[in-house]
Amino acid sequence: MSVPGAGLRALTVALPRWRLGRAEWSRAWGRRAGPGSRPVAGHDEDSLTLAADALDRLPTAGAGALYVAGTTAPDAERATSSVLCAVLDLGPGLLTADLGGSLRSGAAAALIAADRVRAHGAEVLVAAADRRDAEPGSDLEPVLGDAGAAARLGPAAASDLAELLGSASVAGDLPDAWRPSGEEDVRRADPAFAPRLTLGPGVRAAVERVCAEAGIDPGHLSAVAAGTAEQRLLAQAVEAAGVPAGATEASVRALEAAGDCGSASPWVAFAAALDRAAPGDLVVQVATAGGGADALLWRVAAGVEAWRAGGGSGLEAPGGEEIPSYARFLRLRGRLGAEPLNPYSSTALLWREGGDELRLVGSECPACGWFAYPRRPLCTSCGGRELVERRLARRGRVVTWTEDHVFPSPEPPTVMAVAEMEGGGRFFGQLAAAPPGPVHAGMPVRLVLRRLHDGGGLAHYFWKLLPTEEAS
Amino acid sequence: MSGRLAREVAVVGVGETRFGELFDRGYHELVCEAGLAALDDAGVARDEVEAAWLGTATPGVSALAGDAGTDLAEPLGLRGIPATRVANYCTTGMEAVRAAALAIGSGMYDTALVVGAEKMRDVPARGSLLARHILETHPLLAKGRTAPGQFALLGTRYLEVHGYDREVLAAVALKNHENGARNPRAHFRKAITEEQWARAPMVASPLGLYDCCPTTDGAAGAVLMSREAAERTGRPYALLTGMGLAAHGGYFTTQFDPESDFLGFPATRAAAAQAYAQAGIDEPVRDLDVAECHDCFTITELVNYEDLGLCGRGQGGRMAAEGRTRLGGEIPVNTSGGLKACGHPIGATGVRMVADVVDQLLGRSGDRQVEGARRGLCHTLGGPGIVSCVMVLEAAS
Repeated sequence: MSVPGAGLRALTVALPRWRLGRAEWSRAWGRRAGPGSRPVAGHDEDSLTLAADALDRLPTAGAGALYVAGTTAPDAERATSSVLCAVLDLGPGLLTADLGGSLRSGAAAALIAADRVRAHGAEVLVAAADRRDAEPGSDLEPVLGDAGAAARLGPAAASDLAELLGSASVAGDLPDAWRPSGEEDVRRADPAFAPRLTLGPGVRAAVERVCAEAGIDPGHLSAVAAGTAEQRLLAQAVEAAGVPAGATEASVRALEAAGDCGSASPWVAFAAALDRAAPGDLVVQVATAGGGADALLWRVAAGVEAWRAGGGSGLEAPGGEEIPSYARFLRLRGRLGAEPLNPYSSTALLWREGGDELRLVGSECPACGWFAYPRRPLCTSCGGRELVERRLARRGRVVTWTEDHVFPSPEPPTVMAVAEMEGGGRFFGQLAAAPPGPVHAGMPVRLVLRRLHDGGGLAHYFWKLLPTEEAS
Repeated sequence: MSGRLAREVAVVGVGETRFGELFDRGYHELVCEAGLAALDDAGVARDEVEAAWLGTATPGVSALAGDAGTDLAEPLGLRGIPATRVANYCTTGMEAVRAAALAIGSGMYDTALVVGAEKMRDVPARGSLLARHILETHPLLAKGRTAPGQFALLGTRYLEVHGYDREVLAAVALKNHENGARNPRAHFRKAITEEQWARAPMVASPLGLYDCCPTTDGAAGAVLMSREAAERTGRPYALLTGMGLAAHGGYFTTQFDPESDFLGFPATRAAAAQAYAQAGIDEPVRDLDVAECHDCFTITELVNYEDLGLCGRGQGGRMAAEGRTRLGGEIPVNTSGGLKACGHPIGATGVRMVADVVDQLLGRSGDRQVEGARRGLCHTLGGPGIVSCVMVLEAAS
């Protein structure tokens, strides 16, 4: 099958704030876990906020559809894509769809997005994110990762990062990893048996077919990008398909930076490949799970150089803060219990306010220029009654702050800060992370989406202030 | 608008329960004790009360006791007369006094009873905090807020802008604990040292444990009468000569307001201007002998000095550090021990302040007495500083 005409406009990767060092994991369990660390979503991060973080760095204007993929959506029936649509203030006229039920959903989202690009000439946003848990102490725990990725696809253009030349899929159900509905921990089959019989043949068949159908010799591929934890098996399968040795190098880098991050992993691995690719290179992006696989064949385009100059995927220096102890990791994951609270919630109130808080919409008075966030019913400066919507800017500077030790939080203390935002208006709320040094007046911050609480059993999202680098 | 009462209003009797963690006393017992104490002090019988006001701010933490005026009328056996509950955040108690003063000042009634009461410790101290900011209010905008946290925003900025060390807050804590040690009704009746203050755990930086008022049960009452009726009792009384109330901003929006400077409260300044104009006060430090102000947190007392015109902008810290508001100082503030030592049963606080200032004006304050006090001030501040009430009381003769 040939899928010409779809181009990758932009690609971003979002990693959470924290990392769990495998040495710290080894100290806790007395077993070896390899070098490096895995990314860990904090108590206020989930697959939705990771997707939001990734989408946040894409150009979103003019998009006609948003597909969100992952197996760890915060709600089984409420659409993550619709929440993100409000967060990005994309308006209600967008096609939003959610894909899940398989670790291959991230690749599936790309394939149906490409179909929509071909069929309608549409600009389509794709996000894939997962927050992955395993039983404490299991071999999987230090290997999995939490991450999000987002892409924008549209009719191929010269300034794209890459053009999609074709795809091939292989169905297969010999489960190597699974997670019963309603459970949070990933389970795994006998590692000596299942991956060998599942991953290898599926990946090899998909890679061989996508190359054959596109009339490309696998020996001409410069990279095969898959974020699986089974890198040795991946390399063997790829070599067996006739791909030059060393083609999975980007996959290894992606795994080191992001762990096995489920539905996001093909995108994270592809981003790692693009970090070192040149225009004209051929790259196969692979999603693999349970014996099945998807292979997407991309030709790298000229836009990759500008993308890389702008920082690329960020995976080369993933940053993040190492969690001081394994106990703290368990607390962050909610494994140690928490004070039972049921914060006030009202779906009627949230509906009535029309997502104003999520969309960061305030009121501006055209008569006198007065601006206030959150929205007000009347201009309190000149009394004007005909107010218009205006979004609060996302960047600002701290005016004053406090480190509050009494507000109940899984991660005390809660730092609350008032920030003056660029272009007017203020925001008052929680800091998403402590800055490297002390909080101070004038400190630059930007607004990021975080999970605030689950009052009434409903995940509530709101903005927090994230300290940023001093503007140079 | 005349901006003043149509006739003179007197506070004839006052009374308070002990303030503290009164696990053995119910809400209605506290209301009854304070109400009867005020009536007995005024020499007024229950059946002489013509109208009554109850101030309670958060009935939600006391099984809804205090939700309506009947929670005052019922325990005191008042029947067939108006009884109304009022609430206005932490100005609730003074709002109840104000309602009675307006009613008497209008000429409609001659004798009114006011009781402010709050039963906060039927739930753990954290209960009220959780209720206000987590369990009951806005699903997004409220989360992360606490009472100390909201006032701490001023603390951080005040110290930075005016160049004070954190220790400037200790002057307020030490003074109010010292005064409270002499007040038999205070929740905390012990002086503290600066070392204790410094060692206390941080609550919301820069506010530590001794910078915060406690969670307290208590009630206070007052009998208000027209001056003519007060004269007929033959009892000593004080006159309410100034009364201002101002709202400024909203609970969830004030911190978002670009005009907030986090160095003081416009609500206090507006309420004080109203009260001072009525009472003819031009220079508060010269014209006032004693003051009770809203020290929910030590930083609040410092900015109150400035907002009430006791000193210039940025001078509050100096005023406290130099001891000018201690007993024997230029203008003693919170000779009761303030909210810091008395505790802050929200609805009771404003009425308790009126009672303390009336005691000062009538020379009944024992070893906390400010010699020759003729004119006193009461001030409460509600929400995150968005509503304030200021009253001026004067000795009658």
